[in-house]
Amino acid sequence: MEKGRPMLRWVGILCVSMAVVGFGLNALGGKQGSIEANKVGADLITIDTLTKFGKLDYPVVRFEHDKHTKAVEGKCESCHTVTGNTVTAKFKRQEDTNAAEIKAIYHDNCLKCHNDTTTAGKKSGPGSEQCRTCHAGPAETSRTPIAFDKSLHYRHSSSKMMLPAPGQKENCSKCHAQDKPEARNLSFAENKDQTHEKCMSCHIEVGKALQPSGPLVCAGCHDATVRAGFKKVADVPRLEAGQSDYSLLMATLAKPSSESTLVKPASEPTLVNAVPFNHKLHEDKNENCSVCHHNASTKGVIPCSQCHTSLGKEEGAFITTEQAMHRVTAQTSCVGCHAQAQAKPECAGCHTFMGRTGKNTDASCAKCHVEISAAPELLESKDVRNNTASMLMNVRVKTDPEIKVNEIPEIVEISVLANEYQAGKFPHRKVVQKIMEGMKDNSMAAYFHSDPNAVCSGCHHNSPASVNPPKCVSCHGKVADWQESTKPDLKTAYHQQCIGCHSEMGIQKPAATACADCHAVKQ
Amino acid sequence: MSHHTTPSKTLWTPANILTAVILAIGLILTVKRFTMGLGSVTNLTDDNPWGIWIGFDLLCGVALAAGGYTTSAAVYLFGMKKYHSAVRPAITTAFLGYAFVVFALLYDLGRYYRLPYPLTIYPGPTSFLFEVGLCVALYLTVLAIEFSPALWETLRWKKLRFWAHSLTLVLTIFGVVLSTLHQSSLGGLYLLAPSKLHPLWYSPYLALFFFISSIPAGLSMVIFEGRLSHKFLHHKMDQTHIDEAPGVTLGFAKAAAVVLFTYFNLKWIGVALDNNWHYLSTGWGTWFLVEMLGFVLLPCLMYAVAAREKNQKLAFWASIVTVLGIVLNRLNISLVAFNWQLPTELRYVPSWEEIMITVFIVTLEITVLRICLNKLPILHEHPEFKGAH
Amino acid sequence: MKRRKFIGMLAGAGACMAASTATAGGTHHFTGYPESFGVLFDSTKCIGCRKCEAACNKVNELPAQPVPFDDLTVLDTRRRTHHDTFTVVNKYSVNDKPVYRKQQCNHCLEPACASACFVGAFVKDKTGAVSHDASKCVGCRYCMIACPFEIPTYEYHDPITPRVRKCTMCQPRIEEGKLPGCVEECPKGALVFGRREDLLNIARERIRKHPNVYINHIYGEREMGGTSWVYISGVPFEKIGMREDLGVTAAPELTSGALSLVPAIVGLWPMFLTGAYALTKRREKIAEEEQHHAVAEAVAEAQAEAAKKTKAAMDKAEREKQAAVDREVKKALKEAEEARLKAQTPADPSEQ
Repeated sequence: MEKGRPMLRWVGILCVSMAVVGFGLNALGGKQGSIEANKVGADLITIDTLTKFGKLDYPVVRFEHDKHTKAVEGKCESCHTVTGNTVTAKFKRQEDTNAAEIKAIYHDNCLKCHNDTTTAGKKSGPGSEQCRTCHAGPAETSRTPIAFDKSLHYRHSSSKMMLPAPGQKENCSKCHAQDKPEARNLSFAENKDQTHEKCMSCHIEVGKALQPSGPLVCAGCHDATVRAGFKKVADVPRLEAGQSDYSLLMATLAKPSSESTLVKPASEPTLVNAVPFNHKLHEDKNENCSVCHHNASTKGVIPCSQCHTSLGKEEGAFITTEQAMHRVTAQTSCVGCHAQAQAKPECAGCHTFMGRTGKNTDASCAKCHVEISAAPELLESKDVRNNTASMLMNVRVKTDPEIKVNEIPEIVEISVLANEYQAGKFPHRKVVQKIMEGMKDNSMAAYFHSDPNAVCSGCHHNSPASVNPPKCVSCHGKVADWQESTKPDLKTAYHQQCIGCHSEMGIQKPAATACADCHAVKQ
Repeated sequence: MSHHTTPSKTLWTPANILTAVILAIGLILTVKRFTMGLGSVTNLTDDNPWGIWIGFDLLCGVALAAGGYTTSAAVYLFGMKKYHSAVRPAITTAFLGYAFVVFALLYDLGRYYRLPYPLTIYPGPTSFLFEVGLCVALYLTVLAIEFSPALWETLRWKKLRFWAHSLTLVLTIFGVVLSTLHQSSLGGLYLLAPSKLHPLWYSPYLALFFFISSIPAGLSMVIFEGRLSHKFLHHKMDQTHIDEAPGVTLGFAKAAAVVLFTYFNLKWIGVALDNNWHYLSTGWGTWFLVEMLGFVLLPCLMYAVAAREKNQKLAFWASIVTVLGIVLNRLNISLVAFNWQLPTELRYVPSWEEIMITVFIVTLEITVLRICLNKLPILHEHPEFKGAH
Repeated sequence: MKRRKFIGMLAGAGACMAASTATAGGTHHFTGYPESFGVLFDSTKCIGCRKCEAACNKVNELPAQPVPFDDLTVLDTRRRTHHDTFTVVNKYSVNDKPVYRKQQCNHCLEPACASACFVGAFVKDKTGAVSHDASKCVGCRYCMIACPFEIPTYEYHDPITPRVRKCTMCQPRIEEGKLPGCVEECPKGALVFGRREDLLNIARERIRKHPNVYINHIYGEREMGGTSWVYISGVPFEKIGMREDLGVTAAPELTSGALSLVPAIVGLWPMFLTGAYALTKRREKIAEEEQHHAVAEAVAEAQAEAAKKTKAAMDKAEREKQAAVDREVKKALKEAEEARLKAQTPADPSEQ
């Protein structure tokens, strides 16, 4: 065996090497980098049901629903339980029992259908030996959530297919959980599955009646391109759900005693001043109730303070009334939504530099919070409150701020720093006129800028609003003192203000780097 | 018994002619480098400041000259007298190796004339490079003294020879200490650049890896050069040398197998330390596995089999694979896996002039080595100093 | 013990020591010299006008550049610093909008270059600037390897006096109370010069005031142990070419642990190696003595054996001699007897 031993040894070495290499390359479930994250259509459902039972052995399954809908020729009962016109969203089961059972349900049913289809000679899905074709992990999808805007809602509420239930005047209860509009319990569904069940069952029913119906495939609602093609109704009448046009928002403190939740009489310290609120205007400006009443779909349209109390409670995620109204980063809060409006290019030139801490001067608080005496009628009657609010709002300024254009210098020559460059010629009047143009017919801008010379403070900042604001050099010296304050030096102040405003407003000319366009080069 | 050549009569053998050509080109390029600057002969850039002069000439040169300390430690400290005839050739290789490392360094340094600065007027002890410089300088001195008896014997300067020889033990100990330090410090250099070295090669253990891998590097070079000397310089060897040669080869093969295996394990411990297993499934991982399996594990097994079967030829081939493996490892760390995050167009490729100068330096070193082996009592004992070891 | 075991233990001890991350310095933590300066770069303010590059070139008396500084088309290519440009501005496209970033030495609080330099040519000055002394430089270029931001550049074209070049934070100017060249020229205030502590406060204030504009991170506050040049940005730092995987460990800490072992090795190795030598010598001596004994014993045995043999041979020879003598005597007696008998018979004439 003398000659064979070296050979055997080499083979042994080779086997060991291959084993190590194989092990290394398998690399203990290495990154999924090699599997391409394809972009799947809006019908992608990531089947990850077993995650609630523990760690997964295999990556999640990519399931393309529309493909399968087509394959079963629209017969939902092939996979789902159909009772009457309601389709349960779960696959071949009513509830999630345990991991082993669910896995068996999926594997047995899916693979059976695939095998049957293959046997029938048609193109089919992966078989039992192609685990990772299905278990391919998460993928990017083009699906976006559907937003029910006013036009779409109107098309539903005015549809001939949605007649009121017998004895009802309105057809709200066809979708929403209430009988009378005044009850305003406009909740729709608890979760995604319920939503789908509700929408799809109606669409199926209507479709069966051979009438034009809503989409039955995922992409029909969830694909942004498809949605862009929806018919848009122009002037949608206001949704009447018993809401008032104006309301007076008053802060309350829940009392532990039997006393009702009302503000105390004027002799004791009050909570913050009330805010008259133009509900009608806000309805008009927003797409649907959920923009502000953010849980409308599950909880119905309820007052903010029901969950967001003064001290905060679990239902409101411990977010207090103050935070709910003022949090600058939340679109559902008053300040947050207004701050977003400030981000529009025509506003951003001034407003970006004012910062977004949500904390402004006392004067800006007073824009919303009005001092009124807490008369007993106010506290008791909602109607009285609403009328008060209506009255307060109607005396407000709604017209655009008035600027005496001729009092504004046409050209301002800025020569204080002229060195490498000649004096800059600033077209002051033109700039102000442009800014005013951006505010035209904007009632919010008109109201918040109603103080005289408020608009001037956009550039002439950190000083009392005046027709003759102080020169920039009054506060900005040649060299900045960063230890004392955050004021930049004069050159920086000019450039940051001018170039900053241009870039925020998206003004291309003059370009930031085109120095000579603003001040000519000294020869 | 392997075939060995007889010495040729003429000086102009093919090998010598090739040597002359290389030396000539090398001299021209040397002049170019020193008159027109580094940029004129290298592809070094601001992104890639170290090229093959550091990666190969320095790092590999030092690693492969490790035979000096390993052999002298084995013979004088661990008492393995049967390897005694291998000491002088190993010391010679090491001495010339280090001398030419310093020579090559003069090419790479921007201000070569300031080489003594760190060791004299401006020490910078926060740097591993200071460590390298100090220990290499001291070790070169040690090697010079250890090498010198061969010279003194030829010149018959008995007193000097006696003095140099009497220091053997102290120098050997000092040599092992210094070698440990500078071998590991070369690895320590790269500890400062974790963001530039691929995680499979970067490890807090880098210094340890360099030191441990230098041991089989040195042992392999002794085996490799021993066999080449046997083939080409057989006529210069005395009987002791010829008799002890197989013992040296097989004994060193055994030692190299053990150390290579240890090194193999240590590298995996290094990967596990930072949980870098997932890199193995990338292209870099495959390259790492090639280095580890093909050039560490394979020669380890080859050496083990060779030692067991008393197969000198296999040991010789194993030594070649090991040497290539060490070169590969040093080049990987300094050039291939270094700056791995840079885009391809910014990566470094040596210029032909850099390669040519490296070839020139190596050729020069081999030439001097050949002269030493031919003219000095390295492969044989000087007749007047027989047994005086 | 066996040699192999001993070598194994050595390696083990070495491995244990190497694996430790003990810092030579205990709990020391350098937060920068008090009152040292820095520069804050705000990428939301930079417009890529390259005036800072022009100023740097002028203040440091650098050679004229092939492309003039008001040519903004160079921003379309990715550039890095060179031996004659201490700073560059690069343009990055993020969400289809251009964002600019200025690149120069970050003047780290614990610079990697200073740690790497084996002649101590880099100094972290109390003004905050990291300066390079070209009169010490040997040109090894280890600083270029060490710098995680890839800043130092080299004069490869110079054969005799090549230098390492990089931004100096205009140390001579700031010592006179002036601003660094780039800071002074920037029209947009994208660069702010001041005490590092103040700059961090300014940066935090800006981020707090405009949370929708800035990424909530000050780059350089802690990266690589902290740098004097800090950055804030409106887009993720990685998108403007700044590495976010450098970690917060200061560069010197990366090697201080391993370097601390050097004196330990110098102290321990001689002991181990001398010990090995002593053990070897002792073992040799014992082996010699044993051999000596064995030889003596063998010789004594051999001698005893030989003596026995000789005696036996001699006894045998003695016996044989005696036997021979006896034989001869017997033979002689017999012959004598025969002769005697012959002489005794009478003479008879007629008896015939």
